[in-house]
Amino acid sequence: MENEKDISLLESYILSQADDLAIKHVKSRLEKDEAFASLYEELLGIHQGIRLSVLDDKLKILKQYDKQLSTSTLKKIESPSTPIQSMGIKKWIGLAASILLLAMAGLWFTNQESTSNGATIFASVIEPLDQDVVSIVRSGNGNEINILLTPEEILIAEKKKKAYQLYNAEVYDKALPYFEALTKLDSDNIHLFYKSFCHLMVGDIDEARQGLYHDYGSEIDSNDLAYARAMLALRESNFDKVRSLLEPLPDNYKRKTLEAIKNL
Amino acid sequence: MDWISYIKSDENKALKEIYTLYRDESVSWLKKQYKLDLEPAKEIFQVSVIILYDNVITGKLVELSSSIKSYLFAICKNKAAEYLRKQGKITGLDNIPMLIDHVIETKEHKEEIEIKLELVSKGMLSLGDPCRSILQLFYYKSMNMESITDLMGYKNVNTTKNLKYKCFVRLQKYINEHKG
Repeated sequence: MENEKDISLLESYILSQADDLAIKHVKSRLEKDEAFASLYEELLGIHQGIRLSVLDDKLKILKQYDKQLSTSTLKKIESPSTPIQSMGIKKWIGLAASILLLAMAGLWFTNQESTSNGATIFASVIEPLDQDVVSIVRSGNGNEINILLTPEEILIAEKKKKAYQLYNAEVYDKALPYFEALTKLDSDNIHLFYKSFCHLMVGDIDEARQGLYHDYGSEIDSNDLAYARAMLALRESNFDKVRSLLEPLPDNYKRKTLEAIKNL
Repeated sequence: MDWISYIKSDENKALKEIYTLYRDESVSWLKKQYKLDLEPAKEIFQVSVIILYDNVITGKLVELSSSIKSYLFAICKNKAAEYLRKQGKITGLDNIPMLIDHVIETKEHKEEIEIKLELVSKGMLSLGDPCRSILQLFYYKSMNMESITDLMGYKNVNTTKNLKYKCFVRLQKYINEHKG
């Protein structure tokens, strides 16, 4: 207990938080009390070591970011333009599926009484990424190393975890506040996308439209975005738009949607 | 743009923005001015951004009398000169020694202090969270117990105080067990 008190006193001295009386007391004891002076040296070392550990953490974050910068530049140079999809029989199957989907979706929207059915469709097609509290990065020699996140990043990671857990459990109204907070805390636009999804599921169409028509650049998969916008158009009974958005999408989007509608 | 407030309020975002804005220009300048290869030039720039951050957080830099770019370039210049002076002594590319030089203010018993600091830094890594975060918030950011309690979402200040003390004792134990 005595040691704990001394630690606390020395900490306030080192962190320049001690008042004049405490400073005088510390200085006097440092001169006379060898054990106290030794504890002071130890604490000073720990203080500097912790500072070094924070700076080292920040350096790792910058190095990781540097890799992302280089990679994104490379991606921009190397990525070919969007391939034109083949126009064979697959297209006609896709088109037929879209028409069937539209018919069934129309029926669904006419009959539905709750939002949970729509939720099943969304969750079956677009799945969020897993979010971890520890970042794994690859070091220069190719080994994977874990980088612990800063306290602020841990808070964000915790909110992400809750948001996506609730999203996966299709509890969209409860997931919304987490996504709302994430859009303010984190610059990653993926949260805005999922937040807009949740808005759509709870029937906030205006909010959903605003978010789904945000300019995401290449941050969101273009198929996911087109699909989400198609679902919004369905809500708005704009069937021409639904068809134009769904037609170019890969078959798995149509198939999964169809399966989900059949299961209703 | 008030960079100092920005760094204080949203540090990672601000650092990434500074990094994106000045990386290419600084690295090219370091390569040309000091005849450095790409990797050392990049490492010097990275350390310089970290030193800028440290100066803001520790209160050494409270107001910029020039642009942030001039300030950053001045740090790069000093670090490049330091790197060239020590080139024969530094093996490989590792910018930790540059950070240690920045953290240690005294020149006496430098090697001894360096070993000690690296040991504390390793101890912090071994602690993991929440200990690591609590100690960093308390010792580096000088946050009080109330603020740490709020940030970490603990029940009350006493919980945070007890936890902080236990974390400190764990770190002390690690240091005592691993010192030569």
